[in-house]
Amino acid sequence: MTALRQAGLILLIAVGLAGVTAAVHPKRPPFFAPPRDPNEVTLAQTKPWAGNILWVDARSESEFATEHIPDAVCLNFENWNEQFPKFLDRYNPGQRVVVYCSATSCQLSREIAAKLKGSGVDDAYFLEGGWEAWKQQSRP
Amino acid sequence: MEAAEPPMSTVAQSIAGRPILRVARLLLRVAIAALFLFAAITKLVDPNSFAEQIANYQLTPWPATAVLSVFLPALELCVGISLLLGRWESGALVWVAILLTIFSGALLSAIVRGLSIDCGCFGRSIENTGTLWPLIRNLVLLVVTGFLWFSRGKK
Amino acid sequence: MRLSLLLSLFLAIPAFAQLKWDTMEQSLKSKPGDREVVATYRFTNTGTTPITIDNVHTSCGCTTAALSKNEYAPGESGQIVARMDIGSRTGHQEKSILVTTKQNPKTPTILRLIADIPEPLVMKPTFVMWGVGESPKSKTIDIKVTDGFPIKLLKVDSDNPDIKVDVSEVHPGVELEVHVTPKDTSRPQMATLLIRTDYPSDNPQTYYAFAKVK
Repeated sequence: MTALRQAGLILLIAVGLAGVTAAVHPKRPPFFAPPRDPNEVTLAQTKPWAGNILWVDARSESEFATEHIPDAVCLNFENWNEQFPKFLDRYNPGQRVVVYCSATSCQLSREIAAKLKGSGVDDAYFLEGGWEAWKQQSRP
Repeated sequence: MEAAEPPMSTVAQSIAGRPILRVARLLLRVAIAALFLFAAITKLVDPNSFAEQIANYQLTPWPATAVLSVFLPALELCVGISLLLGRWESGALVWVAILLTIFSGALLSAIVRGLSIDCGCFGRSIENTGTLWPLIRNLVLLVVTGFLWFSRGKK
Repeated sequence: MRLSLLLSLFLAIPAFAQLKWDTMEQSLKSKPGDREVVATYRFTNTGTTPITIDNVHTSCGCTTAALSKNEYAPGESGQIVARMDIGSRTGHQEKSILVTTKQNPKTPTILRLIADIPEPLVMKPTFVMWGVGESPKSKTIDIKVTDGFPIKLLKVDSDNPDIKVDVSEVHPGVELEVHVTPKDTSRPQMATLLIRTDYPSDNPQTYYAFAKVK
């Protein structure tokens, strides 16, 4: 059998194996779009929550002081113990809490949202695109 | 074996007569097999993670990435088994060369394109010197593959 | 594989930075009470020309990277000292430091700082709330020591006498149920609950939970 024939046969077996894996593997990737963290929300998804939403800014206090989403409360890892009581002043159970940080690549919002969830805030999400996404939408 | 086999190359002929080279050849073949089997199994355990790693290279659209995350390890597994058993070795070596070239190309492209940094938080990115050693390793493997190819003899 | 193809792949590799690093990744563990994690990355200019490090950039505002000077002659060594502020972070943390040189701006080096910040205990939830006028029923905070962690839960106090705590020991020193009860919910109030422990022995940590009527 020529090398090419053998390579072809190996390919066929590999395709078959791949097919089976794709069909049954519990950790197979989704086909149409990359997997989404269930706690991640887009800006559009937060629109219906207006009126019952609490924005949390996970950036530094200086970035927060410069500008932030209106009515947002600052909560980060550096000053958690001082800021958490202020967060509690604003938070009412039943509100949707959405954490944001600077941009898509920033992981802080995801981490702060996770910490909030672990603390007992059930409806804690993080914003895809972060502050950049917010600024984008207020541009004409 | 069918009659339409090319005659043994001179490399193969010199090996045929020297047991120590035959042993060396066997060890190299098994070593590459082990490498591919190891690579395949670690990826087959969690195709989702592998898909995200492929996505980091930003070379393929997501659906293609998803397919590759399952197909590439499957191919590596078949190649590894083939080399381990010594069956269809020629075909397996063809795939080894193709796969090594593709992986090296992807690594090179990642090195050359540099990184994208967004607002100072650059999550998971591909390290430069983290891509150099795999590249060098792949090139060494290509040389070994070439040796295995040219020293194919009668089985 | 053709020799020419091999060679062309080799030659395509761009000239890499001449900085040789002792280590580019460091894994560190911290202790409760530590405020930061510090890692030092040593390097040497192994090339024949001077190298200028013109930018050291960290992936997080919590991490600073200090460099004593920018120019390094051939053969000269230096170091980057990275400090990661722990704050209230817990668990596995990975931060990156990007080092760019003037001579090779397109091929920066990424140093990694991997920190394991232990979480000695888990509190669930960390706060309890009542609405004004809501029935002042007791609410529970569960505190559990992480498996195998050498810490003992000693005492839980409320800093507000109108919000009382009553502790049941599920497993003394290891798992406690803190029942929090406000005297009444007629007006907004708040209490900080202090959970005292014995660890580490030279600097025993106190953890906080919150109770609020609003």
